[in-house]
Amino acid sequence: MKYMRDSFLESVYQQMSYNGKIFVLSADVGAPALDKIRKDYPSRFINTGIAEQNTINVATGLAMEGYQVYVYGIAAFFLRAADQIRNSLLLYHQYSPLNINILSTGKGISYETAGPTHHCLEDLPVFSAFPGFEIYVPSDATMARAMAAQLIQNGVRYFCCDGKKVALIYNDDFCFDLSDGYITRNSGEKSCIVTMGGMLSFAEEILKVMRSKGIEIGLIDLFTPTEFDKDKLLSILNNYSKVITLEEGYREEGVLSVQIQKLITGTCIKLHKFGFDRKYIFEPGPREMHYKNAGITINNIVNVL
Amino acid sequence: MPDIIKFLKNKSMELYKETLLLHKRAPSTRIASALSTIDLFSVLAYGGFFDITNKKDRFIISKAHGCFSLYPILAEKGIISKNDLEQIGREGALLGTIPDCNVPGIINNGGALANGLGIACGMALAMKLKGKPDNICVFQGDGECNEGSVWEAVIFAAFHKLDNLLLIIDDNKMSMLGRQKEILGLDPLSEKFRVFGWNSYDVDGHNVNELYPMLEKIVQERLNKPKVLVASTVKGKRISSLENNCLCHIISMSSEEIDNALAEIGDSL
Repeated sequence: MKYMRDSFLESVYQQMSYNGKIFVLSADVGAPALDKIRKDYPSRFINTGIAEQNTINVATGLAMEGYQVYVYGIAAFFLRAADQIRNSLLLYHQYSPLNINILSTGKGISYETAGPTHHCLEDLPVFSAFPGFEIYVPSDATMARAMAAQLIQNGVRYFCCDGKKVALIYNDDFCFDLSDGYITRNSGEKSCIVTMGGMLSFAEEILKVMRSKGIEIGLIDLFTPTEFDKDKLLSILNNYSKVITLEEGYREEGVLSVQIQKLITGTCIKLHKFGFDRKYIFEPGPREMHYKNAGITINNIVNVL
Repeated sequence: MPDIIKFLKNKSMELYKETLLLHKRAPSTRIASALSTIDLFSVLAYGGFFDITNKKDRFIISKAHGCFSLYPILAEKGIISKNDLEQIGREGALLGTIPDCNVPGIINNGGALANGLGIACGMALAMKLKGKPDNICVFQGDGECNEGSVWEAVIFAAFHKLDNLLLIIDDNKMSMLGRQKEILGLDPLSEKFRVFGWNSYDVDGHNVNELYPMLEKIVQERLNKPKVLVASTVKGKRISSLENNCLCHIISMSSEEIDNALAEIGDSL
């Protein structure tokens, strides 16, 4: 189990030793790896305070002057800076490419007991509507590190990390090819689960249950839910009669359900969506409780499969 | 009168004329908002102490809707063409009614308001890290000071001692639907900045005799504090139907009105 954000920032820290163009901003959110950056590269790290709008504007100004900027903060509060992400950052980026990487923590209901102000089921649907904003959802700490190490060219990216430690799915020596936007975890017979982020480890459990019943199901880790290779993924999904989207987002409006629905329109594939009801959740409790309340249980999914 | 002052006053009058002509071609331009910028832009662009075209210094327009008055300056400096001025707002033209970063010489998108200062903070930091002496100037409206993002940046700039940063506030005391003092109230504006750790200056934003020495001095000033120049201006300056009209922001002048104004300016040139 490891925090995605730590692996990501460890890679950024390593890169800072040989890349003097890297600048890191934090909107007053901490992480152990960030402490190392703060200590060893004090001139290229700033805690911008509880001020997400200004943090994005400052990042834009730094990037316009040639810096490769990393911005770290809490997912729910980057929505507060949606105007700055769109008007300051992305509009400019369309004319003169920038290198800005927004690292968010607290995806979905990671902050399970903190209530709806800290839950974030809307960032991906909102940000996926912004032209030029690349969205990445690492499914474990190994993938988060690979993303930080590989995605260093110009681009404006949103890395959406779970707020909790997540089980390691990929081994350290796993060779990530991020170009297709997805990884096929397993091939199956009739049904296939498409998921992303921390939900992948939950889907792996379902895979085991089905295997114990003698049934192989497909499993796709769609870590880039908007900019994936649509032709390639459709050719894979066409091998199945049933596709299940499984996400810590709204059941109908979640970025996975919308993208996969769009992708398979016109095919004979039946789509089942697992996600949250479109309402705010005030009841505190562990993640499992929230999943159960939303009908996201192994039994329910196995029954559909 | 020193030659430079005379020269700058002439440039102002030419810019009033060119801005009115742009408004005649594109009536949806915010003319009242642009008329309060003219004397400030003339001194900045032609005073010889600041590069308004973003080749050396950085000029961020935060109240972009009122900054189409920059277009004639960019044309005169050869960055855009005279024909671009003729085509403003037309299908396929380079120039929209609100300047954006697709126009050569303009580097940001200030149509949403209140983001220019934060962007400039990032640039000012970058310049300091690189050890560059270049000046960063932000041109902002007073109405934008209603937005929280402005004050986030105000705090940031003071804390990080961004003394290569100059904020010019075009304090025309009006926003879209009326006078600031009847909407939220910003007075005393320069005092607010002083309390936040800035060096504040006040000036008559239409008096070139005052503007030139003031801007020449504070653009270069480096005293460990960011600088703000609160320039008292008149929205709709020189046009009697716009001056002191609470709704002048959304008023387009008629062709006849523009022609009369141009004739008056022509007489004074």
